[in-house]
Amino acid sequence: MKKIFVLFAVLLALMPVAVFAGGSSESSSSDGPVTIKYYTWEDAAHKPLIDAFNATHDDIQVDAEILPSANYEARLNTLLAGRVEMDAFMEKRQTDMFVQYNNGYIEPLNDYIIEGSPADGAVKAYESQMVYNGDILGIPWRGGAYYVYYNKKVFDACGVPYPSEYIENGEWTWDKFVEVSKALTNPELGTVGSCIYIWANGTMFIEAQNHKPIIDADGNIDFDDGFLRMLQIKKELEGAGAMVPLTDMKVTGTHYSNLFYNGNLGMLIIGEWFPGQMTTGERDGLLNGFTASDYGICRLPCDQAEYTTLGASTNNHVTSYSKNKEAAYEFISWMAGPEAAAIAAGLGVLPAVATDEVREILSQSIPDDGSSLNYFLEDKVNFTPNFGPYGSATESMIDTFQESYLLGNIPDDQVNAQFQANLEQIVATN
Amino acid sequence: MATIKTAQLGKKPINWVKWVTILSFLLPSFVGFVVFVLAPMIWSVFLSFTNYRGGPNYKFIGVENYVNAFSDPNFWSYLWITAKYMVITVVFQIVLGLAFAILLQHQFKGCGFFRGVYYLPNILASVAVGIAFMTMFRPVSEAAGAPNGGIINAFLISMGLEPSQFLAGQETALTVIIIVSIWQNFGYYMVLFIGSLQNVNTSLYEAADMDGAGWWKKFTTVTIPGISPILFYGITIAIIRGFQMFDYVYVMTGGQFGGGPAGSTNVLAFDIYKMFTQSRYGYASAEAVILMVIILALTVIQQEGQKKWVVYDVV
Repeated sequence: MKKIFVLFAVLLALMPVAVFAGGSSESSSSDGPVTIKYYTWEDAAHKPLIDAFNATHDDIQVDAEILPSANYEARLNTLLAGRVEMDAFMEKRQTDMFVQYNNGYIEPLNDYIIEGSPADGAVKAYESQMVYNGDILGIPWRGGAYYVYYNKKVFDACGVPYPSEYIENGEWTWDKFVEVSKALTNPELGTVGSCIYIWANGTMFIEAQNHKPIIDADGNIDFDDGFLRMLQIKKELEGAGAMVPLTDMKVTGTHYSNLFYNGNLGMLIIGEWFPGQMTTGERDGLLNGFTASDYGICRLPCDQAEYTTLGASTNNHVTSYSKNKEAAYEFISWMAGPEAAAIAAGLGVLPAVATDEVREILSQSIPDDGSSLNYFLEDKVNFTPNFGPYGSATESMIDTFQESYLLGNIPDDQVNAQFQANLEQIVATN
Repeated sequence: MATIKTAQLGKKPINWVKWVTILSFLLPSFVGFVVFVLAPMIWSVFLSFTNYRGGPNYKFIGVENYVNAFSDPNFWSYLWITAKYMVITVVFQIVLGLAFAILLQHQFKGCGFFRGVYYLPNILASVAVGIAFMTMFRPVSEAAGAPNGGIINAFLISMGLEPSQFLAGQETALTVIIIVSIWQNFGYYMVLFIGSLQNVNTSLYEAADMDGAGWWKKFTTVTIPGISPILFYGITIAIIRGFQMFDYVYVMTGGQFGGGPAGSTNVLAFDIYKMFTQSRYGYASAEAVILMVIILALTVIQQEGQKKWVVYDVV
């Protein structure tokens, strides 16, 4: 019987070898071009960029693994933890890069970047986000900024001046935003004022403009009443029927683009990628009762003298365990360069660095109304709170916190104390 | 030589052909069990004592993850929601499964159709079921541009009743999920019980009739003991499934954006997923181990308790 157990054990030990033998071989050729494995998610702009790179480079070819955007973050982290063959990747939730860096999966790029190169320019444009512990963690290819997108037809129907007019008069404050949202809400016309989407970012605009980090990279907690004010604005607008309730958007799986495509939403606060979605929305016949020339772009409302927006750039990283780091760097630096920027701009995407050529190309996809392109490309301060190693956990906490507030579980006078306690809990346990 | 020795000792020689045949059947599934169940389970227990976040630089932190979990009010809230979900779904799935099994155990015209209809939801993917019910239970929003309310609210309004927030309401979202879960799963228990009911010895009912037993008396003294092994199995499986619930919460109440309104549907398995997405693998493992211990403890308690009510020797 003992022999049988020994035999059983030996077979057991050999079985995985037999099963997995032959599955781990890596195909490579010393002659042809270097092929790099690149991970990204499905987005209208990503594939054309990769195709363009492959078409113009003989020595490096990108083998793209395009994952579904839902749960991309969790998949990417799992793949990295499993050290799956990956030379470079695009980050979807930017704050994840800190954990990846601490885990040693991100290659610092300080020694790769040449002073004055396009990659250097892109990094410098978002230096506060890209440099951590003195290391350059990646290269931005897409800019990051939130804007107000507005449907001029809704404004015209309701007889309300466009936001650009309020900006010119120095009146575009958050109070004015609430006032305009309510004025745009007309049940007879079937119009609704505004949409601030369900994401945690939607609670941080005023904190960004007050230059409060909420939690910085070192775990220091610093916020003021801007967070509460943002929640109050959402609650007031939901109560007035001027904004689709957050919980309704969530449980119906309503995408912000669909709300805007419907043609009865006055204003949408969302990121710099939205012009691209308007282009594809019009191409696919999704716009209801208006065209891509009927919308405008302007600044976020702001109560401060100096205008600040919020938004993290979208970055590419080289994997630390890649065997093709030079080639991977070559690709991601190309993504930040003028050729890729021109392609991205043609798709309505704001590149990390906007050159005159980009400005020219973007003018084809940005409404030509004399102000939208200027607001889209103007020099502005970008401050993104909650940008650090605690960012992902804080975002998740805010998701639940804002729902609790909007559903009346947290009174105004307890918001700051409870928020502080939750942040302290995150710092203590992460 | 070994054969001679064993023969001299009066033992039968080992039949290698027989054992190799047995092992060749057992080994593949056993390897699958070790690789995909046992090893990850042991690894999870190990990780639960570390601050593992997906990288090689992790360290042993003792029971800190457990202390963090037990000192976090959210953890207790998620456990309470899980328990509520489990108790209600187990009771209704078992009771409805048994009731429909009693109704459909006999052969009559159309019984096959009805059995199929009630069992059908169980073979559907829960993600598809979740999406379908999410549409049906859509809330009615007063804001223009919001998606139209679902068919259930349309029905309520047509009956002159107030529409409900359903999945968007923190008081109602879990109830909707429980209803969907019961709807999809009670058919499975019904089929189990039908098979068991048909094996109950009919002479026992005849004997009970002769003793003047009524319907209820026969049900409690013949039917329940007769099907008690399968009933026990059904309850055990339903409890385990109840604690593992994840998919409806993910699909129907907001997925990666935090689950039900203000966390009202966040069961423990969903929090494990959330921690996983934040790369807090150590903490997520601790929660998974706690969940496993709870399920194990309940299973052991049931195993002990079944001695008092499960009858294996009914003729």
